Amino acid sequence: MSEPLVLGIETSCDETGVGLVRGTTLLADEVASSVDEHVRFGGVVPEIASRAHLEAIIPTLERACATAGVTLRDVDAIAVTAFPGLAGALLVGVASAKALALALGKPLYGVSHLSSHVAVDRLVHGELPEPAIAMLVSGGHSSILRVDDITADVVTLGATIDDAAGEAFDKVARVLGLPFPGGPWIDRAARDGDATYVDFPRGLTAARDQADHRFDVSFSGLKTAVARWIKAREASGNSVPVADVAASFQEAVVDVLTAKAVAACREENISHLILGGGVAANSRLRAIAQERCGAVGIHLRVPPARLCTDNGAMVAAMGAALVARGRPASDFGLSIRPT
Amino acid sequence: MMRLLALDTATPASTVAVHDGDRVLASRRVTDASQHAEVLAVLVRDVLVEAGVTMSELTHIACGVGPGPFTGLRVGLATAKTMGYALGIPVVGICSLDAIAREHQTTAAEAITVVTGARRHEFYWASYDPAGTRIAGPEVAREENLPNSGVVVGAPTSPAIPDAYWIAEIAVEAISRGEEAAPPGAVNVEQPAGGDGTNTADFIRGRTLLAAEALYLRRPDAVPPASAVAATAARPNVRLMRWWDIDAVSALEPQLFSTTAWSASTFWSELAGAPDTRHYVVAEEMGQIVGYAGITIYPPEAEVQTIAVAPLQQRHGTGRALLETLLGESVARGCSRMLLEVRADNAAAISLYESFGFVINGRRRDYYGAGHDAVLMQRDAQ
Repeated sequence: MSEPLVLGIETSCDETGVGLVRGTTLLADEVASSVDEHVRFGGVVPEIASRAHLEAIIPTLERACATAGVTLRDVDAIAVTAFPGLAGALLVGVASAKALALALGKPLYGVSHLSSHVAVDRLVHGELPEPAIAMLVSGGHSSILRVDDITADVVTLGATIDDAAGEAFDKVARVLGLPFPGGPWIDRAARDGDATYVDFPRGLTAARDQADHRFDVSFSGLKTAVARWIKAREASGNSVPVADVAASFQEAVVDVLTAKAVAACREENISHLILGGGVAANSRLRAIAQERCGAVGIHLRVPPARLCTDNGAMVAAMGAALVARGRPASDFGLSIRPT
Repeated sequence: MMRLLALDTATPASTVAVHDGDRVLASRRVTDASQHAEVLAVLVRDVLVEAGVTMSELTHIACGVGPGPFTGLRVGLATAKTMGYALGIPVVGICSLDAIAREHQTTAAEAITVVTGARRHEFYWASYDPAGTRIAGPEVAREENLPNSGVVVGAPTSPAIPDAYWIAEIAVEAISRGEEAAPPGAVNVEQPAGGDGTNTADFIRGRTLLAAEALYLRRPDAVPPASAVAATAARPNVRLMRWWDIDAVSALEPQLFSTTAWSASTFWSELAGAPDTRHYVVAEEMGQIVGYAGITIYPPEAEVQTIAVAPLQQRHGTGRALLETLLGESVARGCSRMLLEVRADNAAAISLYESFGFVINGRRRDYYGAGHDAVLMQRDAQ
């Protein structure tokens, strides 16, 4: 008998994602993005994202089924992101998932967006090593998690106390005159830049922060420092070396993230680190994480870039893990828990 | 045999009913503006049980489409559309205010104005003649601008709420008399800044059965910041591809298409066909080629031969800019139809094409190697 077929729906931000997973096999991962509509606002606009989800959800479901070569009748369980995320955006996915579960008579699983970013690696590198440390870095989140059981026991060791890493990329891109979303643009610009050009601050790494913010991160100060540096540079009548500033900013972010993640592994005595979230697509983050993990014998797992950004496959992967471990389904009164 | 499920979440109420074509078998309503997502699915399940109707027996879904505060409204629409899709049954929209008017229609042959809450000290309203026909609205207005002729249902201090019972009644009657649902499009009716929604009202005038899409009478509030507008301007320039671009283009090609990459000589022979039967363009940014595309032109048909966007440029509007240019050229050259094929697993590209009005009209198995189908798409000029 083949493993259960799980359909996952993700609508926590600006991507309408539908994935289909059987066991740890990815059958379909369809994403409709409203990012083009957000470009002119320089960030995700909740009302526009919600409107777009409602218009995209049926076509995305259709495409996922067509790609996987299945019909909805073949689906054994429905998983959906229930938290955290934009309220109006989450509501569309949860309402759709409940409707599917009701109409098909199949169980419904409300899942965590963060756990799903970790669970997606099941589809690439097989069952998760547990315990593991996971670091999720995206436009909405920057968290370090201890994962003892992805389906039941995920503890947040640290998180951003202000901006998410991806937000910092967006804002710095904006002051550098690069388009939204900033991550890929800064990554690209930084390749030709000197990462030591400006020594930007590393937030929450000072000795005095280690008691209260051991595994927390902060990017607000860094973002302001970059903006100030650019302003001062312009005021002095000099042009801004975009590549060097991008590289120096990126280096500060990557340095803090990787140092904290490796420290978490060592202190918790855990030898597996999993990266996830859109910022995990950053080439410098991947390289430095590999280098630092390799130096201390930590096994690093990073999903391919296209599975790091928000998608339905990760929600289906999470749902499939819940089903495989016999976890109870959610009831139809399932609530969302917005950010 | 008809089994219609009706629901509405356009006001603080979540309400569900089941109708068998003769009468409402069961209906429920829970009023809690913050709980639409939690209670609606439970209500649907419970109402079906009470009515003794199973999911597979349902033949139609009718959904209140507002106007109403967007967050709640979308819970109902997402539920109705997804259930309709999963069950393979039609979903129609009903103006939520129509249901309230119908419930309060008097025998005294009076005109009725219905008022519901729109938040931000504003109200949605619509007026109905004594026969129950919507003659004005739905529109959005501040209290001082609300009409007060005839019987007013729902004062600003206690806005009216609809019941799915009446959504069901209205839908069943309209379906039974063979009314066709209004074409979709109300959701995209352009609202001027500060507009009152009259454009939408005009769009649905004279219609009872609407498409299952929200009646948005307001625009999203977001206003683009000046700096982000400048960032948009960083979109690439699209210009004709010339022979001296072939080196740069051939260098990108294997990165993007690996085993199916075109050679430089393919590009040479394609460009030899321009301008008669070929039109190739490149997208440039900061002096670098970041994308390119081309079509064959044999009026009335044009066919996309390739659309390529450098990896780091993807999802930044380059593909859109290229496609816009090609579409413009094909129309200018008298083509009423454009064809293309795309890898079935390339969701981003398929969704881009769909946003330009392309529809899938076929599939080629294993076209890009085992397990990689091609999807054929077509766009006909309106």
